Amino acid sequence: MSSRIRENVKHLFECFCEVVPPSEDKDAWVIQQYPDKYKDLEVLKAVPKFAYPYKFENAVIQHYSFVLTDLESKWTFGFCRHDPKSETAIVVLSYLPWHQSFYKFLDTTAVLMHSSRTEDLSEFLSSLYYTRISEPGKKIFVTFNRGQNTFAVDVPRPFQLPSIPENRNLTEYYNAVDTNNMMIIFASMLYERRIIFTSKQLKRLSACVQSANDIIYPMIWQHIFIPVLPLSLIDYLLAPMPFLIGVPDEVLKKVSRSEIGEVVILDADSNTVETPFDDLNNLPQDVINSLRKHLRNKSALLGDGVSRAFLRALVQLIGGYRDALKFQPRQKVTFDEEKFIETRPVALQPFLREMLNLQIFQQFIEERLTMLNTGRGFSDEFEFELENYSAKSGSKLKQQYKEWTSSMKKEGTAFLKSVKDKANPAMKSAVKTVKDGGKGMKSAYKGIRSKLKEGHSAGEPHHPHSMYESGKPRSAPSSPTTKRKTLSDFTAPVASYKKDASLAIKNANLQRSYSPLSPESQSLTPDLLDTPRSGSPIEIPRIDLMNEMQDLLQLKLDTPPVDRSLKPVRSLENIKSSNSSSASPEKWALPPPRPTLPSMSSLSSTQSRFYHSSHHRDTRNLLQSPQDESFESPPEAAARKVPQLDVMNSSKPFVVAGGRTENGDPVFFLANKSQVNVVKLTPPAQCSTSRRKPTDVTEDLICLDTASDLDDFDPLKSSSSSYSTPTDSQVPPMSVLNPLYNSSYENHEIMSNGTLIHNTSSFSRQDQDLLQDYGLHFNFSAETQSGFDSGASAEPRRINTQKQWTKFD
Amino acid sequence: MDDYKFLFKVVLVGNAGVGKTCLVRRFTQGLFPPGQGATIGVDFMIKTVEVGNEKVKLQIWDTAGQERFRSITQSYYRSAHALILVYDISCQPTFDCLPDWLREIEEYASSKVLRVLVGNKIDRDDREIPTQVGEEFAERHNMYFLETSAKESDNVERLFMQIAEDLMKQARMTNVPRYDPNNYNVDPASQDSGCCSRLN
Repeated sequence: MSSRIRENVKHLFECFCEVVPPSEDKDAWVIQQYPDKYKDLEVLKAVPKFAYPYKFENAVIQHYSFVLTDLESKWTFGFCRHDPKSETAIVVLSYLPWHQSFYKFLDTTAVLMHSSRTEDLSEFLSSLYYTRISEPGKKIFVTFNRGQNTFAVDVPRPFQLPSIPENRNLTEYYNAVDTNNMMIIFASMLYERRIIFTSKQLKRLSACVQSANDIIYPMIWQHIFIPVLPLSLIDYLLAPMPFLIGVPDEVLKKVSRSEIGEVVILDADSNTVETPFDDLNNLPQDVINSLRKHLRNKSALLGDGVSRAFLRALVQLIGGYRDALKFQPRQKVTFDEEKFIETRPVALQPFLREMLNLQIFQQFIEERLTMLNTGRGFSDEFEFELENYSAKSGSKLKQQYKEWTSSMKKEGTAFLKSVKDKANPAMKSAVKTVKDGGKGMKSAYKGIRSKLKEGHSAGEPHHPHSMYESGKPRSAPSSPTTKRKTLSDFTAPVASYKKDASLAIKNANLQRSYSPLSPESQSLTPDLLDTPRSGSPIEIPRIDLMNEMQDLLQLKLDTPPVDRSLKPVRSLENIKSSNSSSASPEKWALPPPRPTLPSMSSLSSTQSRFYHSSHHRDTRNLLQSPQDESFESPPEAAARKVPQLDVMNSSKPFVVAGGRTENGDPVFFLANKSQVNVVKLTPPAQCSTSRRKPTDVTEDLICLDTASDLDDFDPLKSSSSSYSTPTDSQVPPMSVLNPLYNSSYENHEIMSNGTLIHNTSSFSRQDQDLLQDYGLHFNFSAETQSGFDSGASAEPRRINTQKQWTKFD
Repeated sequence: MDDYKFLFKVVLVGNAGVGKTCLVRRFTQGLFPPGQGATIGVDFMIKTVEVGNEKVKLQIWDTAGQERFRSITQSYYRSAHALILVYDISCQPTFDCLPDWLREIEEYASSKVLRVLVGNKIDRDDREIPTQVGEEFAERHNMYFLETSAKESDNVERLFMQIAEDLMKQARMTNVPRYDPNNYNVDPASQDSGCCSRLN
């Protein structure tokens, strides 16, 4: 129907491809694919273009998605993963828009591609390919790595509103774009404008475009939809039809603006919208005012608050469609446009008249009618919200619909059959969603807590190869026979890429016929030769925990951190109760700030946060998670000891915030009892990442301090944007949010270092910084201290930290 | 970019199978590599023609799956300069759909979009819609009318040249190289979007 997501999808994914980047004389091309029987040549031709949309330097692991549209205007999603350490990109095509799951899938695949056991990859792919897609709300489990690991996919419930932080797209969008600009885009979409999103990051770009479409639910963008536009398709920006296109910054630079014509442009990096229209003000103002009010209530925006705010606006705008439904016995339900206008408040009428002429609204009505005519009734999230909004009309209408349904049933027509087919739990699940959502932050926290716990158990040394989702092995429902099936789908190798150093193709069966590489591209391979091979079973990184935590922490915070100080008592109680630290309110309070510094109270709040994060139980868990099971010292001991260092009373400085700025220079905020300094460090001389590790630790290391204290965590009370240091405009804003995110989320070096904590030879300053960011402030040695005190380019000694670590062994 | 003085965007509308794509391909003679439509849901072809002594670039756009729309709404073509509505003279249903497609166009008579009705496939023997019926319909709705055969290349060139000439005339009258029809001018200095200052 009017939905652009395919129904009755048979396979979890359609095709997995590995793509070789373009070289001087050759475009990007697919070097291998699974299954081999996937033969849509048009799509296979397009995949390389979207996998390498333009020439870009990739310093970090990056996930993004693109969308292909077929002749029926249905969407195929392409999920893409770029790893700076890999010569190729990997892409998975699916009809299912399950972003989080497919990014996880790609991470797992990336690891398996380097497995020493060649069958690992193909077994994983084929068992996933042939697995049955479970019922909504359930999970799909697939075992791999000879049954030692389980890959789990959540099958989304129907009508589930995207929520923060679980939905990474929305979280990204909300982070990058303020709510007023989100509203402008929302309005532009309702007016079916030609809309361009742009960003330097493909990940942000595709996430924002996808989310903008999610937010207009239950409407669906009916026009051109290209979350990432490759440079080669740049001319499509000239399309006179409505479009929503994500254009990488580099690509947008090459377009002549005058040729594009009237277009709305959202720059997701600078959070600016450029529009020749006044669509937002042309929407009925009371609707906009209440939307604005909802979005201003920061505390309610975690969970599905943002989605629901927009949904409510749509309910107010178009919910009245119900009054225009015509129920006639033995006839399909129809929609009366005139009645629709007439029954609305006069103020809304002009807008609605215009609305009737939009493709997006036509689609909406058609979809509603289909739902009714197939017996699904008023059963989705929109209808539910509508009933909240106007309870009266709901019951009357339902009665009407019930009568109509029974008259249809009496007919014994096809309708009955379709009702049976579709008799759905949607309403129930809708209610459930709402309930969940209603709990707002609490439930979001709960989610985080449980994730943290998962992380903890997964990090237990005793279960080195434990499952993704929980520390305990599960018996996997997928049948072992699927494994045996696999090979039939591979064609026999015809040519090999390069015999000894095949481009990450470990499975000869996966190799299919392709043209021999040109000499240039052969130069790509030698690196791979010295790839250390770890013994199988391989180690699977636990990615999602970190990603999701990071997303949460990245939440844009609009209120200044100073607000935190409004409840210092609570923070202090936390300190007191959690350990015997001598920190007391009196001691803890800092003297007035130096003139160059921002509000002292904001710093103190940051301190407190760092402080108790260091001993919080969940922090410990997180600390472990990026490390592998070979962690020698029981991390618990390490973490537990920290609080005993009396940071607060010490005159020694400690880092209260720090990280890298956009240009890569690390900046730290140091504080001791009486003062706070901003220290800018020169970049580290050494970087300890090996060319290709046996285990690609792809977790995005994040600063855990901010979220670790679940009770106290309140990101909405502080800000990352409202404050900038006077000393250096490049210094990232200081707040509960650690500036590290801006860069280190994507920073693979740091991520790789997650495994280095026990590795004395490579323990670099970065690691130390990282630990500090986690809230582990070991006694800085005198040298370090003096270094910091003396100002700018001090470089903490490596040995110090190393000693600190061994002490916990 | 190319040395052309005018760029005109033409949008094709009509039921599936009426030969929209063939029509364009015939006109452009494959001058622009086709085929993206299969993957991103939209396709266009370009042909540069000369009108008078001026070079005019025609971009002809076609979206996949527009058949799913009951009617084409104005948002779909408001940035276009011309709209070509195509039906198949050998297929009555494609003609019967025209009023649906046009519903919008009538309501927005103010729209300056140049509208052309095209009966395609005149090479076929099984004509169901007499030329006169098509003509009358076009007249009633204030459209140009032409019958073509993409297969035999009948009238295809003429169709697009006619459009180019007409748009040129319009453009000369407004004395601006019309990149965009600007039907929807709204006060750009909107209060609510104070962040629209970025200019590239």
